[in-house]
Amino acid sequence: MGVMGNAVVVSELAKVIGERIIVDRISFTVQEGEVFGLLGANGSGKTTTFNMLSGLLSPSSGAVTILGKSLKEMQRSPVIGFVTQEDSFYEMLTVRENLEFFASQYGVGGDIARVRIKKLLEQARLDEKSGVLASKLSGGMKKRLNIACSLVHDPKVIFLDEPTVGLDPIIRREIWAMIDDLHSMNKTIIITSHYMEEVERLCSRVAIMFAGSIVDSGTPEGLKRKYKLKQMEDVFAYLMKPVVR
Amino acid sequence: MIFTAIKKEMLEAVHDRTMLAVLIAFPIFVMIFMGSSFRSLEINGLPVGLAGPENISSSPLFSGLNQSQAFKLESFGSQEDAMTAFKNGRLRAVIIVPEDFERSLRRGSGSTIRIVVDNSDLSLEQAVVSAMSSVIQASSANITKGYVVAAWDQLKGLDSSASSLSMDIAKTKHGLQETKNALESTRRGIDELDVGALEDSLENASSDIASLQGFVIWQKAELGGMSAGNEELLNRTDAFLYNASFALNESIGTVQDTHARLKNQTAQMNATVSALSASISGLEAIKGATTDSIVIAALDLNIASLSSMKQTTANQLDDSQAQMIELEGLNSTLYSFRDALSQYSLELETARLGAGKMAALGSALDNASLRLSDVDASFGTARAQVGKLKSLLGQIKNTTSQIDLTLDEALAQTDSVDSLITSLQGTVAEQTGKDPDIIASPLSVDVENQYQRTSFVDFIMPQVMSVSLLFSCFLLGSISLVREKTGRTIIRALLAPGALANLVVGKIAALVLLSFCQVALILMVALLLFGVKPPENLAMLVWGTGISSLVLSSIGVLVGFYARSESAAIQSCLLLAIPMLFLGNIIFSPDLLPAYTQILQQLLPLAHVTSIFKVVLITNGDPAGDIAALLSYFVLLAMLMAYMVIKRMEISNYI
Repeated sequence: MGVMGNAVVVSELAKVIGERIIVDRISFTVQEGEVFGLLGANGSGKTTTFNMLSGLLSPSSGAVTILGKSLKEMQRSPVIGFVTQEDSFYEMLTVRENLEFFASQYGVGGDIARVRIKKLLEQARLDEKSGVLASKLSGGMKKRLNIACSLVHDPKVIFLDEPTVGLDPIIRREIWAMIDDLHSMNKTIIITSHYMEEVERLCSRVAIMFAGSIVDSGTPEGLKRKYKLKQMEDVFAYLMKPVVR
Repeated sequence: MIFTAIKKEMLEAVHDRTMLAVLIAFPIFVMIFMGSSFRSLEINGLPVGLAGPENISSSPLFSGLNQSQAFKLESFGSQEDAMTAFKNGRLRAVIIVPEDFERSLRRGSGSTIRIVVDNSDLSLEQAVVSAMSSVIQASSANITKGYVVAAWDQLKGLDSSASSLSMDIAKTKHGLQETKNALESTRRGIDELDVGALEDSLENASSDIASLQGFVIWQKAELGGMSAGNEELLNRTDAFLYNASFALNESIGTVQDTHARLKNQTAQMNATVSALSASISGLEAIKGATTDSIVIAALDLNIASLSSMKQTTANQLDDSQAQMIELEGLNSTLYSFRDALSQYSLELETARLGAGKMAALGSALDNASLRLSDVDASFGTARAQVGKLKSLLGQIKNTTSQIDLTLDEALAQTDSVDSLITSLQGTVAEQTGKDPDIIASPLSVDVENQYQRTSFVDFIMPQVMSVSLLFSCFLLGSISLVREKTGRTIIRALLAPGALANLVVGKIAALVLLSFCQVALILMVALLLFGVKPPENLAMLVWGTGISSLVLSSIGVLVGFYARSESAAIQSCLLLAIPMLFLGNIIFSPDLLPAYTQILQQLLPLAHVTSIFKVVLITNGDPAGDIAALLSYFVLLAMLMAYMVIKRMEISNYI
């Protein structure tokens, strides 16, 4: 059993490929129902960390516990939902067909699937587009469908890898609204992002990565106070100084 | 600018390992297999069954076929055994030789060989028929040569017979010459008749006559003093006359008997002359009926010989007839003398009546003495003529015997000539009775296609189905998995427990179902548009399609595991598909390819796929072997895929 109240516990997690250290013994915890932000510049090791947390990549060392179970014990447990940065659904299937397929992959079928898909369609505001091919959806709809596909098995812990990258502000707000809904449903959410506004808006705590290591972590407000900066973006820039130089 | 663009393209090609493999491997592969294929379009070691009379494989024709190296002949005890092996796919063709093959060829009536060929493979069918026809054509020429040599031998035999006959004729000619000499000798014998012997004969006769005449003179002397003793004298005279008449009658009988024999002899000689004339006419007729100069020459000799004999016999006939006339004259003289003796006897009887009659008796005795002198002369002549005649008859007898012998020989010769003519006519009939077409081409081939076809479309359907499944399963299998990676949906499959395995199995199963649809579509189009023959065993078609698509789509999916982009997947599929097209019984018949590629072919699944469709759609045989091969393939592929699904669960393997 993990620490009570902690949904995710990461301890000395590292990934080394050849002689290159991608993630360097990072440790942090995420509490149940918390929205946790993992920040960092490109190449800082965020996505590798995410892949290790979700079980898509085996760590070189360290340990990960999700809802009290190690990754090995979980064996790709359906408690994890992973929202990819790029859309990952079938363009040539309709919205409903995509949801039905991914539900079936987690063994969710019958009435449970029907009820859950209906709810997700409403939640993602795609109920009127359920019969439309995914390739015909707008950018915002595709993003919402992508998130819905990750939630169809009702995961407890959700990883969102830069969910709003490249989106216009309106769509971004739509995604934020969905994340708010998930948070209200007491889902544990771990999110990576470049957008400090988004981090401040969504995350209760953040960890900032640089060159594979966590250089600092805490609440956005706490970090701003710590570094005596008004904006989270300034804090991020301050901590990325070695890169800037 | 252009240079940099070229450099960029080159760098891209070098950095893309799949493209590099295609660029390097493809031309090498195409060169090797196209070159090998076209180099060896002649058949090499094709398994062919031979059914026919015992030991037929050792005949020159089939030993020639075996030595051609195009075919590997295997003899079978019966046609049924050969056809069973053929239907099981162990043989590519069966040669069926008629039981009277050798006899028909010897007879010159030609023979037809049946070749049952596996026409399910068009290129193989053409190659087999072409190769076999060329070998048989060469053998045909040899057989024709054999006919000509045999005909020459027969003509040489006839020439030898004619030579032998010519020698016989020469021998006969010699015999005839000998006969001629014998006849000449006879003539000389006749000419040299012994006059002394004739005189002796005459002298003896004259002696008797002289005794008689002495007695007559004595009687006349006694007549003057005759008294009582006259009666005794008369009695003695009567006795003498009686004896003389008796001797005369015997002479007459002898002359008449001789005359009768001579008459008979002349009749026989007449018959001989007629027989010789008939023989000559017969030989003339034979001569008129033939054109052979040797025979004509032989017949001319015979005719001349017989004509000569005929002339000789005719001459002897004339001589005999002259002798007969002479005998008739002698006979007449003897009769006259007998009449004279009778008259004398009457006169003596008159003298016995009285002494007055003595003068008349003396006169009668004088007359008798004169007549006796005449008879003596005639009798001597007659004896000479009879002796001469006996000698002539003896010679004639010898001559006729020789003529008989000569005739026998001549008859034997005509028999030989008849036999020669019969033989000649037989040979001519035998040689001219042969069909020139058969002599020119004594062996014909009756090619029999084992499998019925309504059109060539029947025979390309297996290939169409194979190619269709190959590309659809390869391309769809590989590209769909690549799209899972490029579309990031593979991440969801990696996250959900067992989802990757489900995804892979789902893809293969879907491709199998689509393959059924494809095959059904091909079949419908072929049936409706081209009127092909519907498959007899639908269940086996379903089986074959299922296992074929299972294997091909598994290969496609495995390619998809490794390919990082759709273009890479397409290139990889082409790299795998092209060798299969060459070696998979699609373009080239495996039997026409080099031996090492035939082994390689067995390792390629497409060859078995095509074979299954051929068996199901054309030969209606048993595809168990090919299905077993594909099942083995599938087990191997399933293990590979299981390994991929279990071991390649990290995202770094895909993205």
